[in-house]
Amino acid sequence: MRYIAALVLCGLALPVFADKAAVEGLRVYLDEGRYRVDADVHLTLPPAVREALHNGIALVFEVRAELRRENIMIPDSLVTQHRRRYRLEYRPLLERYVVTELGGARTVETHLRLRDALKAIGRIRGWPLIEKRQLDRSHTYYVRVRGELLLTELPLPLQLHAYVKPSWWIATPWAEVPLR
Amino acid sequence: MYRLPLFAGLFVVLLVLLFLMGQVAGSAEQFERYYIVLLAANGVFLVVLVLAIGANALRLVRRLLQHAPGSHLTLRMTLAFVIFAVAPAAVVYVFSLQMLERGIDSWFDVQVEAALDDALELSRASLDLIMREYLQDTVRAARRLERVPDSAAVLALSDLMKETGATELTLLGANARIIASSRDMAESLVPRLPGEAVLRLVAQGESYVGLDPTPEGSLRIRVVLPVAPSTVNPQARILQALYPLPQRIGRLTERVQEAVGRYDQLSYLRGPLKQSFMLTLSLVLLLAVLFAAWAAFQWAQRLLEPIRELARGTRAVAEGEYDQRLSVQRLDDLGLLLQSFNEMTERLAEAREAAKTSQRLVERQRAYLETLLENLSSGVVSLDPRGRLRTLNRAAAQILGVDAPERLIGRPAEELRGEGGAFASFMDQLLENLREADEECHMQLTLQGEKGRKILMCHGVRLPTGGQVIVFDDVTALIQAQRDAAWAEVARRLAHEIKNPLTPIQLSAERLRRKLLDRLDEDEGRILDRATQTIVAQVEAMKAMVNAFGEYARRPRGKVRAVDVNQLVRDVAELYRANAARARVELELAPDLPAVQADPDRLRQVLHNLFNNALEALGERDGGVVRVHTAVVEEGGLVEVAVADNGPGIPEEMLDRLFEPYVTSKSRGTGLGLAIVKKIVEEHGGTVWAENLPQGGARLVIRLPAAR
Repeated sequence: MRYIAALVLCGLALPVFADKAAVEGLRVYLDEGRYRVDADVHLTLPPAVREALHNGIALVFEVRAELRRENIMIPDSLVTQHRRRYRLEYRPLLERYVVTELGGARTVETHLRLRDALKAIGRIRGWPLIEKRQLDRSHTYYVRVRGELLLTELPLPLQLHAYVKPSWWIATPWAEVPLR
Repeated sequence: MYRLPLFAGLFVVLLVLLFLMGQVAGSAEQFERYYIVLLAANGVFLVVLVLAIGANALRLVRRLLQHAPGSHLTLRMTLAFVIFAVAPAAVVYVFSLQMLERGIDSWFDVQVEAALDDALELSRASLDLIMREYLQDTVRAARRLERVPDSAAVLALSDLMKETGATELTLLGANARIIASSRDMAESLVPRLPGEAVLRLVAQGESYVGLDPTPEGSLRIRVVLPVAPSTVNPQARILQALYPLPQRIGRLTERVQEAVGRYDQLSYLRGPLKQSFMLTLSLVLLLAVLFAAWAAFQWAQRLLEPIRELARGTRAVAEGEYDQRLSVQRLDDLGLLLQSFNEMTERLAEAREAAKTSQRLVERQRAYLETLLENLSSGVVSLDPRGRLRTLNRAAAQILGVDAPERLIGRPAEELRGEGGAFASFMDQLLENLREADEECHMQLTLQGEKGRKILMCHGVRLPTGGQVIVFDDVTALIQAQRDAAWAEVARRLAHEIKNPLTPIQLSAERLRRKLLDRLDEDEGRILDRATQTIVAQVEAMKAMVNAFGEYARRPRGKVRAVDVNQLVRDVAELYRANAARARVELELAPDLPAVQADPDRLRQVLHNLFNNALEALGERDGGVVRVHTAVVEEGGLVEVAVADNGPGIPEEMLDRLFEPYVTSKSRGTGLGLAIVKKIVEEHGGTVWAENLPQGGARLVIRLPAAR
């Protein structure tokens, strides 16, 4: 089922994965009885989006790791997921890119270079997924990771513009790795 | 009726959508997240409206093509309504677009932009100055730490923190390992380490100073620089110091930054903002216009519904459906019109019902009259006011010898005079009499037909509506019967009053002769003898005449049995073959002739009389032929015997009275032969008539009923 879904997603999302946005180094490992995931989600911004960023538009990215169970007849089901949202903004006064993790932690990082800021956003290290004992051995599981720009978080006038401009559809394809 | 709630529902939906769009356009945050949903909802509503309008327009076009009543009016009203709705909306739309364009552009000013840039630059310069001071303070602190061993670093950092005013001082070793850290109570428990890029920079021997935003939203200064190795500390170390920005400076710079950011954002969003507003405005206008158009269709249809209803009703009435009732759902003028129409159709239906009842009555009466007319033994003929034949009943057709009366109906009476036969004669005499008649007239008409003369008693009446009706009876048989009865009475009286004195006269004459002849001289005796001879001869003649009358008046004696007419004809003919000197007798006898129920003696007398009549008609002429033929006629119901001669024929004026006593063209005979024939034939239920033959001569025909 997941292959079918992947094919459909590839077909649908072909223009979305522009500018080599991709997930690299996806790795799932067991750490003290808990599965964790490492990955580097490479996000790149096309010039139009960079221009918006430099003009005070804050961009919100979501990086997500999902643990899914394979099914035969029905679509694969989501077992658990771990996702984080980051706000990326450019401060002209500081001449720096500020990455703020949204949600509970609200950590703030500043970066001189955009590349470093995006790298920090896409950096997944040791994200906890699930306790091993919680898994049913009779099923096959896999982990998939993806990063994307959330258009819904854009300022209202820009949203419609972004929805109709493919250059704004920034997302990596799903990267998958089976859970062994 | 269902249209009103639908209309109201759609109108409410439209209002809600427009309100929400207005709110979103006003950047109300609570609606921001529903912007796309709202757009989609508007889009769906738009499509629904377009489909509804399309369906309405299609229906209207179809109705226009069918020339349906009210369709042109619907088109005109819809167009007018749409134009009235669109025109002001379009003006407002164009005006709003211009206002929007100019309004948004007016937010931005080159001078403001330059001022903001300058303010930003000024803030940077100000911050640079502060950061440079903090950098120098930190450089001095780093130098003092050069000779402080790691173990004493915490104390040194604590002292330095007080001297420099830093909120956090952290000494890092290789791989960013924390050697020692000193923090203000307000700072977090864990040192906030610099990023990798900063560490890389410092590792190359450079110093880093920069502003860091805090999670709380304020700014602080971060200084990171290498601590030079010394004899005490041979390893390279890094010192990070965090300083708070002076409150006033911090507030000012934040404001500047916020203003610049806001201005940049607005400036950048100018285009999308305009597009968004235009889209919203266009959508609102489009929705309003389409709704107006749809409402126009609905309104026009609702307004014209009674007219369509009325047209439908009128058509139905034109097709004869008077029970058509229109639904009156409103009490306005059109509703009253429908109500009036319903009242009208109701009255029409009542009138039609009355007319139908009346018609049924008339039909019944007509059928009754027709039956009466058809079964009436009297003939009835009617003429319409224009003189055309309108009625000719069965009895009339029978009396007048008309085979197909229907071909005569409707034709002018004047034209029918030329038809020929008894009917033409009837019409001819009738019209002549009617011309001079008043309201009512009685007349007796005599018709000359192929089967003799007919006497009709007619009674004519002028109808109140114009035209005339004539009732007539064939009284020929009645008159004949009266005549026959009179003759029978004459015969009876002759027999009684004349025959009785004849014998005494004869006897007296003979006695006179016997008594006186011898006493008289020769001359007187001769006179007496001659006179008495004459008396006796005349008395004998009178006796013969009286006997003949007696025969005529005699009643049937009732010896009726089945008689073979052919055999009887042969017997009688045989006598005349022998006796007739000059005439030839020819027989044409039908082979399978049925018998007739008759008195054979009287039937024989009939044949004798017919033969005698034929021979007397031939007289002394040469080549005379008496031809007798028998036949079956009327589908076996009648036996016909015809005796024809090739003599001079019967004078036309005598034809209809030939069978009356003393009607004869001959000098001899009693004049009762054919009268007796007729009497006997009629006593046997038969008919007899005489006719002249086209080739000359006459024929007497008798028809008797065949025995069953």
